[in-house]
Amino acid sequence: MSEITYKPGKEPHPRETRRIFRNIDREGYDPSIKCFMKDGGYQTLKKCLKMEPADITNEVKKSGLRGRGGAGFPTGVKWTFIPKGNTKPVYLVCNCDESEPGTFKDRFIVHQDPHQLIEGMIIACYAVQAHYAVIYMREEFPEAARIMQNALQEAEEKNFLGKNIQGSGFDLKIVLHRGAGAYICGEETGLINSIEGVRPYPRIKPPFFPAAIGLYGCPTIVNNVESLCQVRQVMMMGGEAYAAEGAQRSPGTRIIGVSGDVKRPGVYEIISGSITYGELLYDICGGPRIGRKFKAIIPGGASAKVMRCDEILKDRNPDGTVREMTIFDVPMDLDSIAKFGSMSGSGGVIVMDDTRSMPKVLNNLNRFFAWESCGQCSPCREGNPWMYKLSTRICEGKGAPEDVDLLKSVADNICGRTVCAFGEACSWPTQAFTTKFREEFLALTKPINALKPHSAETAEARKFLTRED
Amino acid sequence: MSETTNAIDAIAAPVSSPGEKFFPKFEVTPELVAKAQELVALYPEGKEQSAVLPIIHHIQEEFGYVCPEAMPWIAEMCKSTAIHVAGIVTFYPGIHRKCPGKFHFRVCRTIACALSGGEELLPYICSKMGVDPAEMTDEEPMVVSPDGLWSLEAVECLANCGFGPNVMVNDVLHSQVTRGKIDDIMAACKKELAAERKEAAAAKKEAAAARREARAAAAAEAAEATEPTAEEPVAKKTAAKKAPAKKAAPKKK
Ligand SMILES: Cc1cc2nc3c(=O)[nH]c(=O)nc-3n(C[C@H](O)[C@H](O)[C@H](O)COP(=O)(O)O)c2cc1C
Ligand code: SF4
Ligand code: FES
Repeated sequence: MSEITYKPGKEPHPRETRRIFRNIDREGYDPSIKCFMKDGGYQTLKKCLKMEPADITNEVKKSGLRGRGGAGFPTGVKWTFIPKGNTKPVYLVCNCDESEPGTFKDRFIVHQDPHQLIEGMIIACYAVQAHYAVIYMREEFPEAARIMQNALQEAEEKNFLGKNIQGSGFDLKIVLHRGAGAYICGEETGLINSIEGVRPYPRIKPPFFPAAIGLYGCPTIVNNVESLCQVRQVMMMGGEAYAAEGAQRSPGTRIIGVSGDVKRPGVYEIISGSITYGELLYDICGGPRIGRKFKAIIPGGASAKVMRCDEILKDRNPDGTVREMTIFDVPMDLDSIAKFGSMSGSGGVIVMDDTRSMPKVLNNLNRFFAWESCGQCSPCREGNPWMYKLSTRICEGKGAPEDVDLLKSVADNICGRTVCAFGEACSWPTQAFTTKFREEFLALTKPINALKPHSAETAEARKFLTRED
Repeated sequence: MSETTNAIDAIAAPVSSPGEKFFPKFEVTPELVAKAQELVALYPEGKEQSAVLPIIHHIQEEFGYVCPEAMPWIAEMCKSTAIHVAGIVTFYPGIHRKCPGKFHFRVCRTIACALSGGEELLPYICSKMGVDPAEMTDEEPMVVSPDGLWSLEAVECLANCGFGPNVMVNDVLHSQVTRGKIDDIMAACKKELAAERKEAAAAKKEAAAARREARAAAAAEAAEATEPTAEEPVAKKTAAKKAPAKKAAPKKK
């Protein structure tokens, strides 16, 4: 293993541990099955095919592996939600929509190491006894679609897919399905509707938990690309060994994508919880650009709540005493940041320095959410454009101080009142930005604006109501 | 107030675009039907509707966009209805109802790219393409240049956030794009077009030459045939000889 060399300028940072990203930017590595098999590829699958499917699920459960798509649900547990005594076909779907702003990890896997994902998928399919699986890939990856299609063909030629895989009696077909540029297709039930060829409106849970009622009304397991690659890793290492490494409640490695105002943005694979946000941003990413200071961090993709860098966070020590720290002292696992009201989500860290205007950042996010709402629930469909209008008005200096509170109250009224988690995803940024950077929002507003009509029509309508002065 | 078209009429109305001259017109051919059937076969039996997106992608690849006439055909292929297909087509931002230009630019405007200057590229690209940024609205996010060569669309996160600003040109992603890089990309596009045009012109010339040759050969034969042998009528013979020669000409590239 020590002989792996990486392309010049693409060498991993010494604090990284490359498992899933072992072959990313590796010298002389290409997406062909030859390269993958020369490196021990598909051996884990051969081993797994000799095991009982239930034993694989148990091994994954034992490993403590948690999903990497955002919600962090234990993967092995999810697999056991397929109803007992189920007689319908079981489906497995790989979520390769990767549409959460700030997240850019799956793209490397599907572009450079497609067979790793395919092997992970076959193992997962065997464990849940699915004979039909779909890779749902976003439309913006046309190159990856060709690479993946080719890889599927290669795997079939070598009898890792198709009928009677490696003489085990297990059959599997994997189909590549491409999306068409909608963020909501990342939500698992929206994704299922998209595959069914209807509008990708998310379905309401309960009853539509995919593991019980999913694709075509049958039990369906939806897992993220990285999660499925981790499944392969678990089966390679053994569940117990996997669980022993990294944070106790979220073991294994994690892939973190850093974007925004740091010297060296990029993707880094680290052992979960082994470093803090400070170590990530200062040691690995080289700190802020010259002459600047970190101001705010969004720790888990655009929908996670923003954290101020100067915020004092209080944590309780095991002995009951209180410890004070900042975001830079928080370890990078799945749960630590959640204690302070945000989430680690899909591992996309977006950094902003002191040259940034927070209302403008929020306005950009609000436009994203207003544009991407599927339109099924009224609070989300109407609330998001409303929030976008309000934040635009504030940014343009046309807002009144009350607009800041109104903005937050719109967000408060979306959250928890919608079909899917997009409702939370879109309101969290507004809630966090307007509370944590309230003074910055207020500074852009003027009380006089409350009396000023904002458009020609309201001016006309108000002519009769307000005094001419 | 005045003439309000209803939503369905609006979807069924063709939207013209200068980009159309770079793409063939939608036409149902046996190859297209075969491709659609192949895509339908990927999904479990009775689930033909699942193929609606794959068929749409194929149509966009071939013809650039989904024109109103294509919708009933797609519906027929995946055992659905035209209005259902229209519902899909109008939902996704990645499906075009207007033909894009030969070189379609997608500029990411989401947070990480915006932090690295993605949005500032838009007016620059607009001026280079000769389009009006004000034309980019929520209803019609894509603008096409009058010569049909370029089109521009602001899109959301392209999943390469660490290396922004990101711009996709047709199928290729360009990262850390600057104004200078835009100039280079557009110059490369123009070069590609020139090369394509040159090739097409050469093919045309060759085809014309082949046609001329065939005509000359036919004429020579016709002249030979002026001394008819027995009962064979002259006209019939020349016509029969001429037809295959003409057909062969465009094939010869
Ligand atoms: C609005 C929304 C967008 C989502 N987008 C993605 C996505 O792009 N990729 C992804 O893997 N999961 C996404 N998810 C999470 C999925 O719904 C689902 O939880 C995940 O695919 C499960 O996989 P895992 O258990 O392996 O994490 C999204 C969820 C929501 C609510
Ligand atoms: S919350 Fe928003 S995105 Fe989710 S189903 Fe409702 S309208 Fe659609
Ligand atoms: S924000 Fe532009 S690629 Fe993600």
